[in-house]
Amino acid sequence: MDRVERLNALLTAVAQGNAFQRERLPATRLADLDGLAGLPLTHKDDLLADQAANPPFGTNLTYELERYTHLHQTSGTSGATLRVLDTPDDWEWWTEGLARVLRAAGVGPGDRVVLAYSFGPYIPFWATYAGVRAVGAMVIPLGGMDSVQRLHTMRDYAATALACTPSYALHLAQVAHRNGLTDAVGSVERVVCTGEPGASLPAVRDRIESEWGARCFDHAGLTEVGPFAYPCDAAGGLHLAEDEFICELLDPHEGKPVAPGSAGELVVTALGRVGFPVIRYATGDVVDHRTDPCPAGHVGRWLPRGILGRTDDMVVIRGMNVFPSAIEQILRESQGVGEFRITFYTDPRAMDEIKIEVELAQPLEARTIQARMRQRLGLRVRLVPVRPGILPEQLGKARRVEDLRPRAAAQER
Amino acid sequence: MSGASDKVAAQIRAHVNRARLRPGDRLGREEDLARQFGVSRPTLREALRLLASSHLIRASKGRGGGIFVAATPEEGIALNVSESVADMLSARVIDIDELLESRLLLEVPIAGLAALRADDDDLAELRALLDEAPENWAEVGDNDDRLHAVIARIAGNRLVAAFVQWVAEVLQPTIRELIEPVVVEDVARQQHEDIVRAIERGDPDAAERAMREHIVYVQDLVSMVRRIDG
Repeated sequence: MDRVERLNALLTAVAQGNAFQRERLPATRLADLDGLAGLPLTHKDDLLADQAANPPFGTNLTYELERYTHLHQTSGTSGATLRVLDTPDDWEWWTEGLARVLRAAGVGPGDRVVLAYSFGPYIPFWATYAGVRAVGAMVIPLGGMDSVQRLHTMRDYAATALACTPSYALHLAQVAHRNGLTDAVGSVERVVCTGEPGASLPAVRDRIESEWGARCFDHAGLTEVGPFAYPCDAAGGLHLAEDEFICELLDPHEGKPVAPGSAGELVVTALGRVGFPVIRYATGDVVDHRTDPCPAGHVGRWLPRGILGRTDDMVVIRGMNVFPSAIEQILRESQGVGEFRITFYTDPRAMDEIKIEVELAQPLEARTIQARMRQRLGLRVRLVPVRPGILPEQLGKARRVEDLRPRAAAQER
Repeated sequence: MSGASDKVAAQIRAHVNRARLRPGDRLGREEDLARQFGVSRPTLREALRLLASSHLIRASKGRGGGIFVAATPEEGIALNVSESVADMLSARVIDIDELLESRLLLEVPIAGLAALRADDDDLAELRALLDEAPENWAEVGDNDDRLHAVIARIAGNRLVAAFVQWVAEVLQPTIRELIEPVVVEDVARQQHEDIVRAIERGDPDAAERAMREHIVYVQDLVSMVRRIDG
């Protein structure tokens, strides 16, 4: 079944049972994928508003409630919590998506994969758990443990792969070095990251790889969408899983397709998730629009730089688009860079500025960093070097950015 | 009486300047001065009290005692300002942020002037201070204060140099202690180096930029310490 047929099958199923979608979608079949552009975009706010009006699960449900067996929710780092239900079939589809991620990262039978995620109704843990089982590896959950306990567990069972956020991978390596637990690091061959853009930033990836003596892989997905990007083991970065998702790259403000060579917001339609469907869902993730295939010819558009950032993270400073992840990339290129904190602010002359507090073990890197910022962001930044170990450490979905500009509040959706 | 004592105080000040008396020089005994300026002892005493409160003279008792010059007029102003700033700070009518901002307002143009006015001796003095700078933050205080004071002196405006002395006397000891846990010494040292280099090149814009960057760094560290300490 090709993608147009699958899309039409999805639209038909959804039109019958799903009150939320029925109001938004036309009854007619689409002749080709171009027809998709005529359907309305869905934003997270639409789903949140529906759940607020129809608590607790909303009306984006294709089947009666009894058919659903899995509940997850978003962590609420960027606003209200969204609840997402899956049927056994949809969960199977999720599982296969994670299995593909893990296979691409080289994880399979014989591997012992530790999941350094917290328990709770958050999908990265459960989907990875299911995916590890599906590829025939051993799954070792590390929820409910502190970092040292996790390292002990990894050492005791000679873990071969670690799944976590990129920030946590760096943190855990540091805890290992501080506590003399380097043998817990030694057995790990693969670090599989998600939740933040970091693992596709060459500097972050290189650091994870050197700290762990392992290869680092990135993947991406959203609780309400599915696992839409898997790692490219040949040339780095991500591939959009375009056999399972129809992907569009749109200008976040105008909603029109962006030209190759520029960046746009990833808008996806998940072909395999029927129970809680998303059709033309604006992910908020910004990626490059590239047309060149990866050297290995993998399925789906290649994103060598991974997810560039979130539309809601992107700030415009004196006419330049700035992603905090780009700043992080520049910082991580220097040796001895520790924790950091980015502040966007407006100076008394109404100019928008960037201040970066950064722990520097090699103080003279400050000059280099400033020069790189000027060259790559096109902006002068106010760099505040501080001694290592001073700034509060950020874990998980790290929050290292503060926007103090008076206009920032008004810009939020 | 206060009118007369003000007048005598001004006359004594003028005398000190005219005679080019230096701190430590002896003016004479009370009775000599009363006779010299043709006033009563109480009026003279009131005038001396005024001058002493401005740190310009001091009285010493016993053999060889009398009235001595305590400070040059600039030093007197500097001491007065320092005292007032310290009082305002401890009474919390002024805060650290305002004082740091005052540093920017004073020291940035001072650095620019210094770049225009430094001679070879000045440059040698600055260079020597940089070379002597201690590695350890706990010991940099004196060197740091001297460097900033020498730059202010080189700028060649004695009034402004007097106005900025409170920075070393009142503000810096507190600031250095406050930022001690977070400051990257080498960055601060590099900033001193940048300031001196710009002065050596005779580049006032670069000197102002470098001084601004240096003081803004301190401001940023102070605000960070405050945030982390909650």
